[in-house]
This record gives sequence, structure tokens and C-alpha cells, in this order.
Amino acid sequence: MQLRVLLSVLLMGVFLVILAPRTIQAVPLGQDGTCATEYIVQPGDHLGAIAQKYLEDRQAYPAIVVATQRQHARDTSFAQIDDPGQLAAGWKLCIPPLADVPQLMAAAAPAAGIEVVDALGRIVRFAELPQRVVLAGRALHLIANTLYLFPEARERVVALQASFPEMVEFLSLVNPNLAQVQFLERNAGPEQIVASRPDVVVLKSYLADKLGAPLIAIGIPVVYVDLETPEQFFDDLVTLGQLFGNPQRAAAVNTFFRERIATVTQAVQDLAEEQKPSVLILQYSVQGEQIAFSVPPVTWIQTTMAELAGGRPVWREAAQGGGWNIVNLEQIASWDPDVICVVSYFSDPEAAVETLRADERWQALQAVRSDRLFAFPTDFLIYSWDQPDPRWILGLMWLAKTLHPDRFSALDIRAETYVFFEQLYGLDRATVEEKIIPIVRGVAR
Amino acid sequence: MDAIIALEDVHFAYRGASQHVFDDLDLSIPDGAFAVILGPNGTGKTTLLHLILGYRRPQHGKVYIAGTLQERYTRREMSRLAGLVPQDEAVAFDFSVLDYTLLGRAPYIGPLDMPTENDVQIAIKALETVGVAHLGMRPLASLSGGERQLVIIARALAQQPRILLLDEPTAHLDLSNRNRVLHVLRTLNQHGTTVVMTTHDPVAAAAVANFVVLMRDGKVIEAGQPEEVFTAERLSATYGVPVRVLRLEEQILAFNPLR
Amino acid sequence: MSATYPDYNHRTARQLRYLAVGLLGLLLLSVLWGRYSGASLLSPAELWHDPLAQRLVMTLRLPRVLMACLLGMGLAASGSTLQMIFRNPLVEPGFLGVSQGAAFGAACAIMVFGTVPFAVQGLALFFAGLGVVLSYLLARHIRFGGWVLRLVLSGIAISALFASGVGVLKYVADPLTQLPEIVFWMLGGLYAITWSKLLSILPLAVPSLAVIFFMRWRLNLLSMGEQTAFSLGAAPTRERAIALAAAVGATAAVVSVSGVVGWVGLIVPHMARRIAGSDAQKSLPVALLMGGIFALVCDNVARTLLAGEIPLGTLTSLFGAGLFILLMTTANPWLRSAA
Repeated sequence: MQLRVLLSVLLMGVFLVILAPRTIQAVPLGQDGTCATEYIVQPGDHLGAIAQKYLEDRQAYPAIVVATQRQHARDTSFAQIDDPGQLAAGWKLCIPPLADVPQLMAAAAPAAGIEVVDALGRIVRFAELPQRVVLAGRALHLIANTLYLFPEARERVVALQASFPEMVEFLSLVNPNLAQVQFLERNAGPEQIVASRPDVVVLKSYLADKLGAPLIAIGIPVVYVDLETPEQFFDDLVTLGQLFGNPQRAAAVNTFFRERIATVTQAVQDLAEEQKPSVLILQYSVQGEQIAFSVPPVTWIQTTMAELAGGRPVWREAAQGGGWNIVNLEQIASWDPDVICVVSYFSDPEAAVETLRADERWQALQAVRSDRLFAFPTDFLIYSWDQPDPRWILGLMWLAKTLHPDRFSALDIRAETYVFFEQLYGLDRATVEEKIIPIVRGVAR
Repeated sequence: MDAIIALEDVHFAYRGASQHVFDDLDLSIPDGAFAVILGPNGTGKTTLLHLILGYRRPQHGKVYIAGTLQERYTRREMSRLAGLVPQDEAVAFDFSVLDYTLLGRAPYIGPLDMPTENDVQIAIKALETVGVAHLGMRPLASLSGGERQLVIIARALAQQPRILLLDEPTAHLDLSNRNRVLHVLRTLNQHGTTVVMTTHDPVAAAAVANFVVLMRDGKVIEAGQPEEVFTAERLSATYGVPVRVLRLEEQILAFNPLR
Repeated sequence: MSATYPDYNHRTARQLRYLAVGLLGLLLLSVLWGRYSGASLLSPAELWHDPLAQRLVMTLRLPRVLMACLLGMGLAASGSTLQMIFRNPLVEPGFLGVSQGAAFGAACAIMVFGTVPFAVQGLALFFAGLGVVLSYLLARHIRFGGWVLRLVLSGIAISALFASGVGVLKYVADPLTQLPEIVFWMLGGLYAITWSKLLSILPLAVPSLAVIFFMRWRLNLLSMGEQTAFSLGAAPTRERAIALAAAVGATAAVVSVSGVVGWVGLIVPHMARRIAGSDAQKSLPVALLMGGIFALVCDNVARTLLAGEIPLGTLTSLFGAGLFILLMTTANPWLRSAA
């Protein structure tokens, strides 16, 4: 009996001694890390995009660089990455496990010069902070506002395309030196952009082939942004923070937005589906004599806003063209939503709402009868608060309060408007009072 | 004389057609002959020329050209041997007479080559032979019917063929042009080219031929010297209507009396 | 050379000389002309001293200007060839499903592979070829008409199918980002030409053009009826197929990078035939040079007249239609001098 116990103990001891080193080895140590995946670089890959895909954050690319360097030291089939902006096809990269990322980031060597990771995952290096920034492309009025969230933009943005006079009006409030900014002509090509001697050109990513490639061929650095959805907004803020050399500002804006989003989502998180009011965001546009109503596609920011605000967007089932889809009154009647918000670009949404209220066909809708037909707020007319512009946070708060007045009784949209323009655009209270508040439509006085 | 063209036991029908054009056709044309194939419309005269050229293949039987089976010749060789003169052809583009005639040199020019100086000279020579050299730079479309026919002949001549096949060359020509064409053909024949001409006009045939083939419904009724073949019975059998034959000033005339 | 025909080759040689000099001069001018700051001509001194201007010229203007030239030559050669082998002066290089197929491929690439390099070009090329193959296969199943009619009909049908496909894609496209790109591509433009794009199409474009160039006399023969071509020793079907493949190859190669540019392939062969005669041996080289000049002029206007790009196809249609009207209403100079 005792012999058996002794033998089992001995056996267990031997077992442990043999197995122990192996189990210890299998635990990721962070010094001698293991790879969650090994990735072979394809032509056209960018390190930021790889980091986005596997580590869910394009800014985490240094973790991949460090992990791969460490693997390279032991096994030269892994790549030697000298410049994260230059990847060659066929290189083997080590993608570390998510848990290791913080330590690897801390261990990463600091970048020589400025490194900017853009929306396409490209890592663009600058020896010094770019002083001449040009914003190019079409319909820039929304993106420009995101750039001007950074005070550095006032000096450094030297050229952009002015799409609308209202855009110039607003930007001249933000940047008193706007007269020195060169306004590019519509559809300016690479030659004209180059003539303004940029250090960097900021473009939306869909223009990569058309404008980006020729500019890069001439040797002008290009940084791409997306700025369509809230997630892209936050990621691109970090990119812009790197570009302007002001990551603290990017973080501050980030916090500003997240706090407000949290306020909204926490207040509605316990709502069951049936308790959420059905909401319709409708664009009202007049072409000559014709009035057209259209709904946004599911992928756009309006849908996200409606859901975050605790509503049920009825247009989810509408036919999905790539842009605004025209709907007729029959369809609206068949949805018969609880709340209707009317968006109008280029004309006054409050006037549109009055017109609809007076229309007897519309009076049959329950939203009109229960007085839940609203104009979606806008200032400067083109800056309706439902677009991928920083104002979307105001739109979100307004929508939440409109859908659930009881839960957001403490939320004062007017006050938030002041805070928004003061903190994000550095406007003083008097300017906001005189120039902006008077032209805001859709928010109770 | 050896037969330069010989058809033995030839059957031919167009794909999808129920009726045969030729059944058991036997025909032999001597070398150097001026052969005229005579018969009413629709007897298959054009088809016969196509068979000789190799453009159509018989379902059964053999075609011999210059003693060798038709199939043995490559298209190139065949085109140096025999030239086809259609009645007319639609030319989609505005070629000049010389451009058009130069096409006849194609059998001697590779697919990726250009015509040489020599080719141009031969084409000009061909135009001179038929007597239209002065029209060389004119657009083909501006020529009269007779001149046009002569140009087509010139094109075939540029091929420097041993055999000239003509499909109803005088059918739509007036008297003077008809004579012009026949005169040219006779001269060519005298210089050694075998001429095979189809026509439905017995008078033209009689004037130039030294070998006549009478055809009806795809069958050869008679083939031989004109003196033997041009009889009233034979011609009537060919055309299916009464034909009378007259000799006038050494010319044979055949006509179908109108009531 | 016979005394009766002193002019036979001389006149064409003279025309070709003038055109070649004109083209070279225009190329040089085009490289210096642009919108570097407003529409202007860069002086050689400026170019010498400004490194940015030098990079601009070498990496943007030079490939673009050469590409415009190649585009014009390719379409003119292709148009000439197709008009001859189809015996129809109204035939246009893209009609066998090439243009619409390429448009469909490009639209797919813009929608699905937005930022992948060479995606648009690759898919455009693929579907252009597919369009021809489908037209050809469909033609074999048509039960009536000569081969010309069959091919033309199936070309129309396949083009219509692809065009409707593009229509669907345009409806589903994002109107801010994708739709304008698709529309712009379909209207044709050389705004995105780089050296790599230009070099990538050369392996297809150059052999195709070479084949057409060397076959140019033979095209005369192929424009005759079956019977005549046969009697002159040609293998009409096979040779036409080779010419067709070369024409389609040249067209697909240039269309895949330039988008759908119309009228060049239709109008330039006509003009060339009018001044040099219908003989393809002479009119094809003239067409090549004239095509290069025409496309180059249109592209220069496209990129310099306004700040933004004017679609190239719009300009070639405008100028092409204008020239066409002019051509149709004046007497034929070639005929006149020959008479």
C-alpha cells in the first residue's frame, strides 16, 4: 500500500517535471511571444489595414512590427520591417494575440519623424509636421468641418474647394484668416492641386485611384480619410490628430463625443423593442413644382443615429439604392411611424413641416395628429445635423430628446449647441449668440 | 488535247436542299479551249464554276484540274491556276480601278506583305491588255457596265492564271460592250489561256467558242464542237422552247421565234 | 513606274510626312501645355528650374500625352479594320460588346474593389473580351442572315445586356462616391494615367496594332465578298477572325484604361479614306496618325479648358460629330483630284 502511494507520487513527480517546461512555454510571455496568426503580405496591402483587420485598431500596427521583429530574430523566414510604410508582397508577418498588444506597443521604438496612419491603413511618414495642408475632392463642406476641429487647421489648411457660400460663411467664423486660403476650382485636377505647393493632401478614400495615385506619383504625400460612420469618425480623428501634431486635441474631441453618446445610450438601454417608437427620417426636396420625399439607405449615419437614440428606423425595409430612395405617401402611410423628422438641405425644414401639417393627406398620419412631426435641426441650411459632420452629435442628442422627452428632460439642446461651438470650434459665446443661434432651425427657442 | 478540267461522276446538292443540282455529272474540257457552257437560267452554271474553282466540294465524284485532284491543291495554288470573273460584285469601298486590279495579285503576296513595284506593273499590264489602262485612277464606281466588266477581267488576269472562269460576263452588257468583252476573251484564248464561260446567250456562244457544253437541269445534254452541237433539236431540248438555227455570214444565229 | 501613274504612292507619302511632323509637334506642345497654374504653356526655362514642374511633366503629363496618342491610334486602326472586314462604313470599334462590356467591368470594380490598384483596368479588359466572345458564340446560334448580319445583331444584343447591367449598378451605387466615378469612366477620361498603366497595356496593344498594320493591304481583299476572296487565295473566315481579334485586342487594351471613348474609331477612318483613298494600304497609316492627332487635341482640351476634367468621350463626340457633318456636306477631295 505505501509502496503504491510512493510510486504514484514518484510517477506524478516525474510527470510534472517532464511536462512543466512545456506548459510554461505555451503561455504567452510577451518576451518570447507566440503568434496568433502568421500573415503573408499580398500586393497592395497596408500595415494599418492589416492591424485593423486582426487587431481591430489600425493604430496598433507597431505591435505587429515588434512581434515580427522578435520572430525574425529567431526565424529569418519572418520579415525584417525597417519601414512600416513599405511592405513587400510575400513577407511573413507575425500577428500577436490581442492580449499582448499593450506590452508590444510599449516596447515599440518611437517613430523617427511623424507617422500618420490613414483610413486605408497606409502609414505615411513625414520628416516634419506638414505646414501646408490641402483638402481636395468634391463636396468637402462636411469634411472641412472635421479638419477645423483642430486649431492648427486655421494656419495650415492652405487650399480647399469651396462648395457652397454657407460653407465659406461658417468657416470664416472659425478661421478669421480665411481670405488667405486658396479656393480650388470645382473638380480641380492634380495639376492645380500641385500648384498650391502642398506638403500633404487630404482626400476621401474613394478618390485614391483618381486623385491620389497621380499625386503620389508626383511625390506629394496623401492622407486618406473616410468620415462616413461614427466608427470612421473616431478613427479618422486620431489620424488627423497625428497629421496636425495634436493627438491631445483628437483625444479631447473623442471624449466629448463619447460622453454624449454614453449619455444617450445609457438612458435608453433598458428599452424593449416594442417600447421604442418607430421613427422616419424623411428628406423633403422640391424640384420645380414637384415635391419628392426620400429615405436614406440603411448604411448611412441617419440609421445609426435613430437606433442609438432608442428608435426603430422604419426605412430599414425600403429598397436599397446607393443614395436617397424616393418613397411615396402610400408607403409612408403604410409605415405610419410614431415620429417623423423632416430633413431638408438647401431650404428651411420648418417651412417644409408647416406645409405638410397643412396638407390634409398628411393629417391622416398618426405622427401629424399626435403632433410628433418635427423639422430636423440645421444651421447654415447646408449643415443639417443628420450628416457625417461633427454636428451629428447634436443631431443625436436632439433626436434622443425628441423620441423620449421623458428620459431626456434634463437635456437642453440649446445649451448643448453653445457648448458644441465653443468647445469644438473655439468660438466665443458672443459669436455663437449672434451668428449661429439665430439661424438654427428645428430647435425650440 | 488533254483535258485541263475534268469532272467525273459528280453529285452536288446545296446543304439543306432536297434536290440535287448535279447527279452523275461527267464533263471534260480540253486544255486551251474556249469553252462555253450554255443553258437556261437555273441549271447550275454558276455552281459548276464553283465546283471547278473548289469553292464548293461535291458530295460524290471527282474534280480534276490539270490532271490533279482538286483537293490536292492548296487555295493559293488554285488561285494561281484559275481566276474567277463574277458577273458583277458589290464593292463596299471607293477603290480606284488600279487598287481593285491589284487585288488580283493576292495569290503572290503573303498575308502580311505589301504589293511590290512588280505587282503594280503586272496589274497595269493587265489593264492595258483589256484596254482600260487609261481609267486606272478613276474610282471603280464611276465606270460604265462594260468598262467595269473589263476591269474585273483585268483583275483576274493579274492572277496570271492558266484558266479563266467567267460567270455570264455579257449578260447585262449592250451590244458594243458585249463585243468588246468577247473580243478580249478571244485574244486571251489565242494566247494560250483556257477560257470557260457560262452564258444563256447562244449567239455569243457561237461567235467565240470552240467547245460548247449544253446543259439543262444539271445534266450535260451535249458537249463538243459548235458545228456539231448547235443544232435546232439540241438547242430546243436545252431551252425547252423551239429554237431555230441560221447561218449568216459565217456566223451561227439561234433564236426562239416570237409569235 | 508607268508614266500614267506618277502620283500613285507619292501623294500618300507626302500626306504621311505632314501628318507625322504634325503629330510630333503636337506631342511636344502638349507636354508643355497644362493647368499648372491656370491654363498656360510652360516655358522650357520654367521647366528647367522648377523640380516640381519637372516631376509633373515626367510623371503625369508625359504618360498621359503618349496614352492619348496611343488611344487615338488604337481606335482608328481598329475602326478601319472593322469597317473593312464588315464591309460597313458605320461600324465602330466597340460595337461587338467591347465598349459596354468594359463599362460593366469597370462599374463592378468601382463598386466592389474601390481602392485595389488595377482592379478597374483588369475587370474592364476581362469583360471587354467576354463581350466579344459572347457575341461570337451567340452569332453562331442565329439561324438567318450572312455572317456579317449575325455578328452585328449579336453584338447589339450583348451590348444591350451589358448596358442594362451597368444601369442596375448605377442605381445601386453610392451617389456621392461611386456613381460619379462610374459615370465619369463611361464618358471616358485619361485623368488617372500613370506610367505603369501605360506600360501595362502595351503587351496587348502593340502586337494588335502591328498585326493590323502588316495586314493592311490584305484588308482590301477581305472587304470583298466570300467568293472573290476565296478565288484570290484567301482563307476569308480565318483571316477575318485574325483581323477581328487584333482589332478587338487594340480596342480592349486602350478602353480598359481610358473608358468608353466614342467617335474616334468611327470618324477617323472615314477622314483618312477621304484624303488618302479607300485602299487600306494607304488609308490605314493615315488613319493612325490622324487618330493620334485627333485624340491628342481632344485630350488637351479636356484637361486644360476648365479647372476640372471634361470627359474625353464628350469632346470626341462633339468634335467628331462636327467633323462628320463637315465631311458629309463637302465634296470628296480625293475623288475630285483623281478625276
